[in-house]
Amino acid sequence: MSSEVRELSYAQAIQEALAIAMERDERVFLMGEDIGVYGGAFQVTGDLVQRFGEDRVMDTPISELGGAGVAVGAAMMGRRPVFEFQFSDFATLAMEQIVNQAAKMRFMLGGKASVPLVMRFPSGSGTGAAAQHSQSLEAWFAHVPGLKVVQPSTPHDAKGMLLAAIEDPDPVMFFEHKLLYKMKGPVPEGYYTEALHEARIRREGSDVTIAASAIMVHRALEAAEALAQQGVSAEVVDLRSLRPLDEGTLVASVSKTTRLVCVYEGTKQLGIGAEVSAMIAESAAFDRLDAPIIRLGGADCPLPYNPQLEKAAVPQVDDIVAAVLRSVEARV
Amino acid sequence: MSESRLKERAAPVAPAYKRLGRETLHKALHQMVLIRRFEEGAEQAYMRGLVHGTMHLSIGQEASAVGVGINLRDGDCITSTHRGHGHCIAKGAEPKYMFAEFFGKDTGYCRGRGGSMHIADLAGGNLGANGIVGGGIPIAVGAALALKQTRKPNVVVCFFGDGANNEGAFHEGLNMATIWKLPVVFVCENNQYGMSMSTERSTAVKRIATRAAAYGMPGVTVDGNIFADVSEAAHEAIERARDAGGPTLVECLTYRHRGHSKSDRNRYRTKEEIDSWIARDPIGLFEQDLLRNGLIAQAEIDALHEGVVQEIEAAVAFANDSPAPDPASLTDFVYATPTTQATHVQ
Amino acid sequence: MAIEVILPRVDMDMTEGKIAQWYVRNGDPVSKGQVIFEIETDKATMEIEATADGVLQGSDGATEVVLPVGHVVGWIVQPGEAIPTNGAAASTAAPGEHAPTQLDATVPAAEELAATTPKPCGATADAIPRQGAGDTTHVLRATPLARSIARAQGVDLLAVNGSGPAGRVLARDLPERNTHAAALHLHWFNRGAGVPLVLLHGFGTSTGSWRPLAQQLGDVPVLGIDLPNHGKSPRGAVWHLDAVARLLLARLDQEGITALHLAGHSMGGGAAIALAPLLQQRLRSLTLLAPLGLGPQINGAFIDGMLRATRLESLQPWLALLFGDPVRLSASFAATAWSELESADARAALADMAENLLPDGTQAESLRDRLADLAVPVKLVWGTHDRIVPPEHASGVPGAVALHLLPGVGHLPQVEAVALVASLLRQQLAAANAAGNR
Repeated sequence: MSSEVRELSYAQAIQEALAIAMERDERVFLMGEDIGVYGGAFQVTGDLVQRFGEDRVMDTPISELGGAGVAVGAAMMGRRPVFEFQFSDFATLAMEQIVNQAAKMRFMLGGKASVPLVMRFPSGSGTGAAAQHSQSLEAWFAHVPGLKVVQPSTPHDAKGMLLAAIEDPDPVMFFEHKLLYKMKGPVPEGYYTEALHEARIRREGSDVTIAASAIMVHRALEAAEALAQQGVSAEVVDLRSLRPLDEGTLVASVSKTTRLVCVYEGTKQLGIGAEVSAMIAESAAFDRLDAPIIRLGGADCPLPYNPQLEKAAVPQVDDIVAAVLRSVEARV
Repeated sequence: MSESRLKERAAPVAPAYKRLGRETLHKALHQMVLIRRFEEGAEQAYMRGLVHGTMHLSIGQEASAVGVGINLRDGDCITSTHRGHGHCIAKGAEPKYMFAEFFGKDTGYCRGRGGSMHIADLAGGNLGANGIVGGGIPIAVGAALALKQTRKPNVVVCFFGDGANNEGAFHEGLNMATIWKLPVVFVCENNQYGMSMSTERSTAVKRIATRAAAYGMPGVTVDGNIFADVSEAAHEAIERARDAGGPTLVECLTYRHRGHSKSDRNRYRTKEEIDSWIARDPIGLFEQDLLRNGLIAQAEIDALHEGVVQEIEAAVAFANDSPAPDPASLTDFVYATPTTQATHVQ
Repeated sequence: MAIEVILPRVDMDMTEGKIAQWYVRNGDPVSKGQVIFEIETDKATMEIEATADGVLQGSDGATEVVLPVGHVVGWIVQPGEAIPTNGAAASTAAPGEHAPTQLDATVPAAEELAATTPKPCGATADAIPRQGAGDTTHVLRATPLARSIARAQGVDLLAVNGSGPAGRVLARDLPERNTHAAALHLHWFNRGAGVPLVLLHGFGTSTGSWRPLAQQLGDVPVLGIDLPNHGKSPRGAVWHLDAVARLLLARLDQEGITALHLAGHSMGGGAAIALAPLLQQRLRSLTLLAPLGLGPQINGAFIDGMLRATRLESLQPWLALLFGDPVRLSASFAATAWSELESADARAALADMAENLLPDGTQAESLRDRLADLAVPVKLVWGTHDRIVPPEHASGVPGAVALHLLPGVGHLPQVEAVALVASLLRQQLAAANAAGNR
């Protein structure tokens, strides 16, 4: 197992993780629409079907509910299915099996069942796919005890967290932002895992904490660079895990900086940032706040088709810079 | 409801009787009586206010549960429904742990966390009763997929009711079972009513088994109150699945003596209808048939009934004496290991 | 045996009901399945059947009386049978049922369950009282941070001009002198994953003096904080150890320390005792090396001598008192100590602090009671030959405190027995890890 570091795209990193997982553990198999010879709607599974065969890279009919339930049943019997939804929006068709079955089996059966499945969701907007193919629904799942919900923002984390998710005995909802699929980054070769419940400080700072996930991490980092030019030192926390949230890292960061801006793509109301804000307000960091917490989230409308409207519907770099300045300059 | 279901019992011994043999037939009768007394015991407990929530009784459907279950081997699995006490017992569940679960005790099958609708025993191949109509169907298909992947010589029996046959999950599940040729047997217990809606009003086809053709699998309808008929059809379907012949849909025509749940006022069916089905009580029919075929003596029947009474008695006592779960364990079993998520319970 | 006729539960949430109408009278024969009465619930009425053949006895025929579920309203008896007088009848079709009162006792009613189970929804404190909507003149607006700093410093927020929106007071609005809390000097010896150990030095020295001990603890994250008027921390009036504790707390907050092990020596030990209760859940263990705060005696002459010395030669004899055996005083130790006290201004600031905390050669405060309620492992380490603060102060501390008396050691266990102190600290780390990993 070499630890050479080369650049892979986010999509390639996920493919590599799937291949490594299937090589290491014969119980791991993939399910999804068009993941076989077609290679997956976002070309993530690629040629895996040639390498591992149709029995392990299974094309499913367009039956999200049934397919999700098959994953649940197989997982209960000890297999390790990785189920790809073509778009995260289609999770809505499978909510029964995800929320009523997968999330609750262990608990309802008094700890005597396990559902070690992974469900992968290409999500988010920016591709002009419009309202029914652009949503960020991760907050829905983060609301359900029994599920784990993660959202890696880099190719490195995508590979490591997916390998960890596949090994995890609980159901893991793995959210991949579509705009990140082509993003390249350093990815070690071979097998490694990344913790599923830890945030990461992507940039240290002292004036404000920006808590973000997925593509918003990258926008926050861009904003932090721009802010540095104006003498504002922003700390960027990559949440990585939405359920559980890494409270320790968030509390320590906000205690240090005394200001918090949450940036997320899901609808602002009742989204991930709402939970982060409330968590901070309930924590020891409350007494360290020197400004109201600011949430930047998705606009209160379905994602529009028109490209300018689509951009305007979710936080952009300028929005983050403006929000941080409002916080630091006490104009909020 | 047409009454032409009452078959004449001709002289030849049912093939199922020959195949199963005296001992197994006695075991089947024991299970059916156990289910009956169990359901009645549960009903009594409910009426006395001892059971939190409601329950869905399967009194009258014993031949369907046991007729199928008697053909299962070690390693075979079932999924069941909200009306699943009978299936669970037919798959070997012990009444004492079931009562303990109904009373919310820590010694119950689900440690008091699941209740009547979620009884399960994974070690014994019972993947669980399910509170969602149709919820168990895709899960059964997934379990069958796992059996095929691991090359086990086992099958999954998926119990569901007539209500489920209109759920999307039914159609998706049966389709996938056929395209992947999975070792699963779909058993529809058609007791003529979803909750209050009759199959005549809810379902586009007269016989649910005919839907099998839409999914490329054999379908058969049997009299669900005749043990021999159910057992024969189930045996054929189970062995077909075991021999990698793919899935089958077996429809058992039966009836529940009680309402849907304990709140049901039975406004949607007549007393005459209920009485006519009670007259075809599957346990009575089975006993008479066994007697007629010289496969049991009346004294054995009486002793069996007496024994079951004591079994149920002991089971209830066990449940009564069991401890309730510790409130401090409220958030146990959500994950394999506790996460770092703040519990907000200060 | 007589068979009970009960008021049955017919709805999921039913706890009581009324008999609306009887269809038979007391003394009438009944057959199994015959409707004998009708009950009324909030949802509808329901017919109830006899569960056996026999004669109805013991029924008072009452209607419209609210009865609890399971209440016995009569018996079905066989000819010649009498009804029970003490409720010890058999029930009907479910064998093995005990009399209702026994069964009821084992399963708590819904109300009882609600009272004893914890509330998972996080319902906690009363709502914060809101101020009058139209009354803007006396409304205090201040950020939580400004409030906590003001609290620590005893500043009246209403007297501060806020620069935030609508006159909100921000941390930066508080007077300069009151914000030096954030400027206590903090030094990391070792960084790393895990809960850090925070070290508080004694009077007249600084964090640097912990270096030999920190080196023994190589892989543990260790940091030290210079007390006010010491090392690189700012100078200012300090009236009591509680004030020192609050300054330390604010500095730890600023560093983002959410969990820590705490150890203090001498005055740092006294500060640690004062700080421990303020840390609440964040504190994992407490280790005190010859601390102040447990008794009135202190070697006042030593303090005076130390602060009056204007050169190394006059400091040295006093430094020698620190050691169990004076020969252990090394030249490098003396040189380092002198470098901390060389500056007249430094000595003056220290002298002020000593006057406040150790007036007339006496320890002004007793902090003994602060040790009583600590739920973490506490160790108290003292040299038997301590000539600065007497080891007798160790007696009478709470039983849960582990006492380590080091024979022949003076006032500096962390110097004279550095390996042992390091190992005791490791024990504290291990004990805290074992105790709580929730």
